[in-house]
Amino acid sequence: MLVLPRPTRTVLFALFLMVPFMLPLEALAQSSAVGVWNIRSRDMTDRATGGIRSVLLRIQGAENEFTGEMTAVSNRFLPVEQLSIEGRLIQVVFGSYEYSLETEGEEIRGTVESPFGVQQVSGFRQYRGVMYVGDVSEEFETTRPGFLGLSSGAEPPTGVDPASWIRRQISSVDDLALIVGNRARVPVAFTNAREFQDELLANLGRDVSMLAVWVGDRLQIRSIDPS
Amino acid sequence: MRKVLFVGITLALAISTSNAQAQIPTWTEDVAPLMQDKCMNCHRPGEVAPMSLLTYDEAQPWARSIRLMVQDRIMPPWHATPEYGEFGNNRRMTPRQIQTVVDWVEGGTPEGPGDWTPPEYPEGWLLGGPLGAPDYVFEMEEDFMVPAGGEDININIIVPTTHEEDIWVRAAEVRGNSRVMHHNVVRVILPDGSEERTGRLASATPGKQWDLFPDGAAKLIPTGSTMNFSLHYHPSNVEEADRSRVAVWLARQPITHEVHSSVVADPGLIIPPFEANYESRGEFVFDTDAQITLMKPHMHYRGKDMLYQLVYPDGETETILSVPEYDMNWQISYELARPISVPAGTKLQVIAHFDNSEMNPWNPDPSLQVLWGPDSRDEMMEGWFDYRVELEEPIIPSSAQVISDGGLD
Repeated sequence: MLVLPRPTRTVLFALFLMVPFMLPLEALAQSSAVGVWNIRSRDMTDRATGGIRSVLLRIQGAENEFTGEMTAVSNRFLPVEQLSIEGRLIQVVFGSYEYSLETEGEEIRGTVESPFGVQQVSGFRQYRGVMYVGDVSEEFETTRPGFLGLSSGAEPPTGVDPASWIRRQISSVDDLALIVGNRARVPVAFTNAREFQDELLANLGRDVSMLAVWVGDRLQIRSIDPS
Repeated sequence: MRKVLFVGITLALAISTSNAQAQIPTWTEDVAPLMQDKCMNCHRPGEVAPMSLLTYDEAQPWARSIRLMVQDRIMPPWHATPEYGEFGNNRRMTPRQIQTVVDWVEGGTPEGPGDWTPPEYPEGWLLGGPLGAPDYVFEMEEDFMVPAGGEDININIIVPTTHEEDIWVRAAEVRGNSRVMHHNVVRVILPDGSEERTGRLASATPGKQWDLFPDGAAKLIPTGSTMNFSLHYHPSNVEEADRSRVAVWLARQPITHEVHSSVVADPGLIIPPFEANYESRGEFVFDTDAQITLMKPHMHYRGKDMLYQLVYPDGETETILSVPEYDMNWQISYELARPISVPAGTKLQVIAHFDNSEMNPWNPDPSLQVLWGPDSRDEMMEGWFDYRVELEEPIIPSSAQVISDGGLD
């Protein structure tokens, strides 16, 4: 009979106890592939594209039931021909392009092999850009910088404290909006301002970065970070 | 008896195998002729497409991508709905043609018997095949250097002409460095400095390859004119030189019609932030009997759809072009197979929609109010069209007389 030393037994017992937790961790790692990935490479044809070739890979599903779509030249999503996900490793075959990718948090990198040769690619999980959705209309998550002000678009006069001025103008937090845009100052209202009442009031008149989901032309707030 | 049965079965299997093989399309017999018609004008060296597909060795490695693009009608690019208009340059593949490509790929991409000879493009001109060498080529006097990276460049460059007598042009083709040239619109500037009244002579845009006027129709370039090349460059990742040029082919027949190029535009458009379906309209009223020969929608990133419709003097309306899913990457000219006659007083209405919402994948910033402007991040609503007007008396151009004297035709 094999008798293991006590420390080894302790480690093995600890590992045994961790098994039920390791399986969800694996599933969690796989689910991290879910989302939209903006994958960029140098445009090997050097055509009039600014030198960068950018494609979007959208992965949906969970556990071992994943589906993948990729954008083609028209920016329309088309189903990929093969998709395999093992932990952080993603293999995709899309037409004559074969991608070997690895995710790391919000970043992705790897290679693409095509009749042009083998190329390095790198990219990121796409929340922030607006060139995102393809031909499907749906809600999606976005991070929006802006100024926390009034949904009427009125802005504080110069020389006054913006927070105090805005607080005097509102009857409830439903009157607040994120003022976005560079040239045009556009107020974007919220669907769930009351859920975030304290944070909204604490950041009145300040620049913030808001993680939210678009619902029509309004934002459903998920988090607010002072810029 | 057994021997007869064995021979019979073997023969049947051989015939069956032979039939199965015969059903698989081959490159030389089926696919290459189809791709010559639909793909090769762009998919050849030096053209706008990213890879050449002229030969089996070039096309075969891309077979899976070809199938993918063709099956989903992403390629060849053609965005007009088939319900309206009949177009001579229609690149849309029929379901049977699509199936030919799919069967070829799924059947193992056989090369087939014999040799495939790729089409020739004399001096690189697409029209060189059907029309021969051009009569004149007018070229920029020096290279324009497009820097590596940076913002788009819009520039007008004046190009001299060399012809010593008035010429009537039946076809023109514009070429430049396709690595960086997004488009070039060529206009004739008369000796007094004014722009020639019939509008642009020719243009090169992604998806548009030439200006070929119908039989008996032509455009005049008076002697002493110059050309204005209106160029839009997208810098690539390396510095590039461009020396754009326009080739012209002269009329060989009596000219019965003069070609005019015009546009319906809405320069006053104001697209609100986040507006997903902003409508823009414009119209042109024909003051003389005419025949429409070509249409070319033009919008930028937020362009969504465009419709051309005629309102005849009796009130009847007719849709002549519908592009329900506009794609700025392709500035396609829709050349009518048969010109549409319109009596004086007919209105050409152009109705377009713009998507300035987050749902538009091309939208650079939906939070902006968008106005008219040349930058792709601004907008344009332009419904370009060509029409021809019958001349009171046919004109016999000197180029036609050369033919009759020399008997070249």
